[in-house]
Amino acid sequence: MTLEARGVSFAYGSGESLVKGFSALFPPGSVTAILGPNGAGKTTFLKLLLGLLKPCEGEIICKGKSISETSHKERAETISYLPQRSVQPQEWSLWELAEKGGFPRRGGGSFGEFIQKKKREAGELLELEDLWERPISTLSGGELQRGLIARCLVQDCPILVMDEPMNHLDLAHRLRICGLFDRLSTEGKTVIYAVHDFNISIQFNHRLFVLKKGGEFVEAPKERGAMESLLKETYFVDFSSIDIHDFSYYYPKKNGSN
Amino acid sequence: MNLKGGFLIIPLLLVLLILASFFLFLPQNIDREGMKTVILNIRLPEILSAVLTGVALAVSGLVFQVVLRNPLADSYVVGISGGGAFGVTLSLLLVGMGGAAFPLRALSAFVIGGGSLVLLMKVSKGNPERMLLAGVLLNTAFAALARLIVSFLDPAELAATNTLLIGFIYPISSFELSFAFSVILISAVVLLRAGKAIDILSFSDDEASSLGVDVAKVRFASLAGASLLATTAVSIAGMIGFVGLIVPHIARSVFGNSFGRLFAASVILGPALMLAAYVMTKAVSSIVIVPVGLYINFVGILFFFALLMKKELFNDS
Repeated sequence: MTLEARGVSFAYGSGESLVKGFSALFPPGSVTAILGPNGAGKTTFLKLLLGLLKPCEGEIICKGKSISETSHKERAETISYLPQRSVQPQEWSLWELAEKGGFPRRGGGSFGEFIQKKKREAGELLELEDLWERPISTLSGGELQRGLIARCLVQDCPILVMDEPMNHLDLAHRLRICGLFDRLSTEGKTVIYAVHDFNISIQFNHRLFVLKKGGEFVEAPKERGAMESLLKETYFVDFSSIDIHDFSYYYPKKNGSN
Repeated sequence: MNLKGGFLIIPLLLVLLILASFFLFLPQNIDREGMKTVILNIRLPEILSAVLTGVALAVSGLVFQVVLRNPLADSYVVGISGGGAFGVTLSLLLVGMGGAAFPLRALSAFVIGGGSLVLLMKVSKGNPERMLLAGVLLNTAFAALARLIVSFLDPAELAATNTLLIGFIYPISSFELSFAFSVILISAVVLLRAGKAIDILSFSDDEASSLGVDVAKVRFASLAGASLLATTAVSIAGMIGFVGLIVPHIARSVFGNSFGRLFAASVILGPALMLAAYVMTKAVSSIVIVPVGLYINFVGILFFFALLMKKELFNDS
């Protein structure tokens, strides 16, 4: 399903613009990463996509209508959301957390079967089979994060909006999550996620947007020199890069080094 | 945890308690006819009152804890019961106690308890932490107001108000019974039907909303149901604290976390706790009459200390 941003601008009250006149299409099968400095507005932008915030100008279009005119239920069947900061009762088991993704579809005749199938799939993909029954209070940050991603998979929506899905994950699991995104995209799903360590997004050839302070979105250029200067403009530190096999690896330079 | 055992033992305990409430500590040297009168005209309505109050308080406490995402929340902490009790005290002043005064008593409890909820929702804009804080203030205000009223009372009214503020079980009339039963049944059914959505409110507002829950609507509706239950309990049994606080915790430690199961467990455990306190009242009443609310307080405080020492409930494990 296509999600479209049409001339979207947003600021909290009379504060600084966090998103300024952004237009883009997120078609089915696309995986898009959004990077940018702390506080630039990545989370805010994702909340605009979800309809949790209303743009000051422009609109988010989904299924041919503005997302702010879509009902709660319809939205929950269309977009699943991984928040950067989740709140959940510590005494719940990890599966009790993840199964709540099934809430929008509850009640149907084959719901029980559906939810068991999703449990198996998510358990396998995210290596959670042995963790389902554990209380959340006993889990590590990365284990909880995978449980929250599992909730999104159980929700089984055509669009996934994920706010820093790589948070707390070890490098191997980051790799697995990117693999999962590719798999979802071959199923025709749309994935949009915020990320800091964008090299892995480049490695997986995901579409990349840079959100600069002040709300300007720039699509990341393929050419190394252009990307380095864009990163410098964005983060105000010098970047360098090297080619590894078929992708470029960017890293911030320590003062005075190369 | 042996779930099946728990499911079996607790209803059994409830049945035993009901039987005990009927037959234990009957007056000495009473004839058959007298015994029948005591059991049917006094014990039965008292037991029904205790059961209804237990259900109302336990379910109400459960909803407050889940919706406000706080293990210490209930209608007492946020001043809804205090508001209800203030309403009841006012009606005592105006029309006195007794069965005929019940409609006004219930109505003023609903109006002031319900008004408190609306005020809290407005002040907190739905934010659970802010609502708890505002509720604590509101509760203090109602306690002060109640004290102010008490200072104008004559001794007889004072005694009635005191009993009310501690919590009491009396043989309720069939009108009170059917009224309280209907209100409790309706609120309970509505809450149970919304159970899955109430579970989702345990998440942050953004998450709950992205899972398809109209957060403001479900939060208000469920708290309104819980407040209706709490004020009904106040109008038939006064200020019985702790049931709403303790029962959901016991339920959670035996029956897991889903709202549906906790609801079912609360419906059984709430009356069980009330009846246990009721039996204690009867046991001691030959020496001195102690209102049921006091027993609940004693049991409640002991229990809560034990609970606080059990770490897993809180995040510091």
